Amino acid sequence: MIFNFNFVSKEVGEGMKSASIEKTVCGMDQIFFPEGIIGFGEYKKFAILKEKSREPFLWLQSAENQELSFIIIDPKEIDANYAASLCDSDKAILETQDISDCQCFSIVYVPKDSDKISANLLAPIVVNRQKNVAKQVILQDQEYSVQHIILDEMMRKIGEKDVSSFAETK
Amino acid sequence: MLVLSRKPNESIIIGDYVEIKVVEVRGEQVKLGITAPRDIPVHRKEIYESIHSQNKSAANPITENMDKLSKLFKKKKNSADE
Repeated sequence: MIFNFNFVSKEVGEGMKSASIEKTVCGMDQIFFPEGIIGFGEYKKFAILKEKSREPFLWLQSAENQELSFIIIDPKEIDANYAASLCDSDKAILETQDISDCQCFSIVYVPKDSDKISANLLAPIVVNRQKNVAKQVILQDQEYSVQHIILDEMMRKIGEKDVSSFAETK
Repeated sequence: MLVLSRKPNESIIIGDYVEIKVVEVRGEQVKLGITAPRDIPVHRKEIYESIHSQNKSAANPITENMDKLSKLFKKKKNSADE
């Protein structure tokens, strides 16, 4: 899946609050959120920024408020089988009947304790890649967590690989 | 808040297009049926609130706390590439 990421340098990424960020983001491919993001409904225009040193994490940066940004990640990096289903009101906002037109991103929560960094798998940011329209969708009847701890998942995946390669060398 | 009493199978209409019906009452649990236009989302309040609060906490993260996790992703990527 190809997505229109805007590439930024590490300096821009770290200096998200610099005065020039609004001007920088204005020139980029922007995504329109008709309903904003839950809790931040007044801000409708965002850009997704890719900072090489932070991959696979990305930035979701407001084009209207330089003080507003989120770290996001493709939920498939955490759960390879992640699948979101859209309800009618989601499809209407996203201007598509087909989830395959869309790409999902989970907002990442970064608390002081880095072991507790989590992704919101229950309410992904869903972006219609053709139209650059997006919505934060609350998944109905799907058993995902609002605070899925990323570290646990990573340790499991790395652990599995280490265990299997040990078994082979034995 | 407008407070109305309803019995099972009675309804409330909000505006011209939203109807809430008491489908069943069993002990302390009330089953509600909601009819609304396709473009109006309906959610359990506590779920909506938990996402609202999670988003507020997630905004403007302190990225120094992420370095350990970023390293793990690189490690995973490197081992996958082998």
